[in-house]
Amino acid sequence: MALPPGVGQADFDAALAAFGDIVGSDWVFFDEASVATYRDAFSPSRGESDEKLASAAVSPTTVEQIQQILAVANRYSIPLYTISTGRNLAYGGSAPVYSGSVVLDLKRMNRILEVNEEMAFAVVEPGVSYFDLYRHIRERGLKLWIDCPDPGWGSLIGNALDRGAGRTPMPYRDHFGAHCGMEVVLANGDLVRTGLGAIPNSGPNWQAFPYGAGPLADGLFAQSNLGIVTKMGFWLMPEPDASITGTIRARRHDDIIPLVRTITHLQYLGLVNCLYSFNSPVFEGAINERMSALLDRPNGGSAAEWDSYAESLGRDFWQTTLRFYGPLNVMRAQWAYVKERLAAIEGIAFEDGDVMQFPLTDDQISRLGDPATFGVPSLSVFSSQAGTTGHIDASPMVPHSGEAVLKAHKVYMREYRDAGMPPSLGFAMSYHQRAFIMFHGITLTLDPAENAKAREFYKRLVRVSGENGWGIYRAHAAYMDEVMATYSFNDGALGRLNNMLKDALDPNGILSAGRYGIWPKHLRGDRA
Amino acid sequence: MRPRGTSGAHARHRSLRLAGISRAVTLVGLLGLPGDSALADPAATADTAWSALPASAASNLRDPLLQRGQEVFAQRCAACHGPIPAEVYGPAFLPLMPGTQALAARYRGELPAALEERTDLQEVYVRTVVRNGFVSMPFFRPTELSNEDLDALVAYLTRERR
Repeated sequence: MALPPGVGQADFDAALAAFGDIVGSDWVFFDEASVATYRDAFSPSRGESDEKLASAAVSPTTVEQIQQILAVANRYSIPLYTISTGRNLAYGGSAPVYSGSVVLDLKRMNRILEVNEEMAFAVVEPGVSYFDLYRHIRERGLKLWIDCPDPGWGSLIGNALDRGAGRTPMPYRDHFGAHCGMEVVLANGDLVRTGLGAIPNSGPNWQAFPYGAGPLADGLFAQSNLGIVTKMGFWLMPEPDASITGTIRARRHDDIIPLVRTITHLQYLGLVNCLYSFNSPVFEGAINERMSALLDRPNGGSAAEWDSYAESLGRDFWQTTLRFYGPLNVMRAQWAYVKERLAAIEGIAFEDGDVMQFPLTDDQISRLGDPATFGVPSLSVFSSQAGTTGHIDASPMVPHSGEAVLKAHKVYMREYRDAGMPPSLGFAMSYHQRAFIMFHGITLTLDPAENAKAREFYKRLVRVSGENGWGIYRAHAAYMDEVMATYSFNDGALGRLNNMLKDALDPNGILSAGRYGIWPKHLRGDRA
Repeated sequence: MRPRGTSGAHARHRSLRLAGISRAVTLVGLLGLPGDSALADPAATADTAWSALPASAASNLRDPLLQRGQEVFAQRCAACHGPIPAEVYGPAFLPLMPGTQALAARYRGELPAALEERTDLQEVYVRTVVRNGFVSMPFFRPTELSNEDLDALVAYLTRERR
């Protein structure tokens, strides 16, 4: 049996026995086979000496059990690592940041506590997946949509706490942004509710107003290790009448500048609120010799040089599809206005898409080609993983400007070329309100040499993103220190603040050591 | 008073006490009964299902273990390993049913790609893949798929067919 670093066998045995008394011995795992199921299935260091591994796991079902587990962990200085459904694949999965931690597995806390149709919210526990909530709503015929990331087996709470996003309209697709109210167990066992939940008997008002009064504590518990979130409320979108799409194609390199300016302007006005991405049929795919030569030109090639290349391929430079949700006449007016505003771009082309009417039938749902766009969870995104052993994701945030989108494409394409990596650069995608994500999913295999290359490239992408001011929004568990190191203003003041909070809220450092670069005092050492 | 459409937490807490009986209760019997779900067992109820597919219709299996295995498959496996729809509805993104797609590519028609159509599956194989994963398929922890439900799944996928 592996021991947590710095913990003796006798103390570990005593702690595990105490955990068993709390949750039942069936739900404490320390045999090799069970503990192995807490590995990161998409580990970039699979089978190597630096693979992140747990020493054991304990799975409570109630807040009271968590409080008792924390008392034991404080007594024996046991490092815990909290997971909800443990499906944060490509960002570390269920494996701890600090090897040897005992995973606190909240999967069995799986109650959907409330779904309120009129006020359009849900309150769930950490083990509730998108599939769970979707089915709950569908079975009851409630006229509500959920917003889910592409893999539907993840936790609403876990995903929101890692600030994940889905694909229905704003504000719902920003999962942290669409939450309202948290319940948190602190390291000392104290139970806190944020917002109006701090008012006894506030009832459904808890999910009506997120701020309450005083400091807004919720942010402390996302991408951190300052407490254990046991309940969260989420605002849900009422089911719209219908949805239509409109596709836009622009011919030239520099057309992205007015495209981004106009579409984001309409977005800020509330006339466009879908997830869209600026795809470039010219930049996509493998980097050939002509592209490589252009990237080496000043500023990665001029507009005229790239336009000439695009013309030789017979391809439009940019393409995007906007989706509208709502009443048909309103959506058609929105789309007509988008076309009117973009008409001045020479050669721009528009294509009207199909109408989807809601609610969908069971048969339509079972055959949906793009389920997450309609708030339907699936696992179809894993079709992109065939033959691999997963991927590690780095997603920089690029501002809403065409110039920035062009620069980011060229910067990252050069990085892929120079590293000899197959490009896996996503397009500028509007997951968030005021910045594009340019997603990178770096493929892993069973070949340690290839994976070593992938790891180095990931770190390189993090550095390059930071140098350009394009912060990574979400870190892989194996590279949290590297990501947080790019947030270094004033000699790392943000990190110092995080450490002060850690020392105050978790003085024994038992909670998820290393998560988002926050280490307890006794492990900070050279990392500080 | 709670507004219309609220499914109350209190009724749910009461139902937790009944969770022990849920293994013997078919999923179908629980559908459409707000607030009456047995949520203590993550695999026992529709509320905690993984699959977006409708729960299995009335089973043609008589053995409760096989029925449970069929439910576990529907809830835990079918979102990846279900049959590939003949025709997609609405815009297409990525191919549906990645598990079935991957096995179709692997077996090239020599074996059925949809797991429920296989008659050659062996117990050790099913157990190993579920707990250890396979290529890009991640493994499943006992808190996600209990040992009892894995037994039922194995029984269902390896049952004798006529």
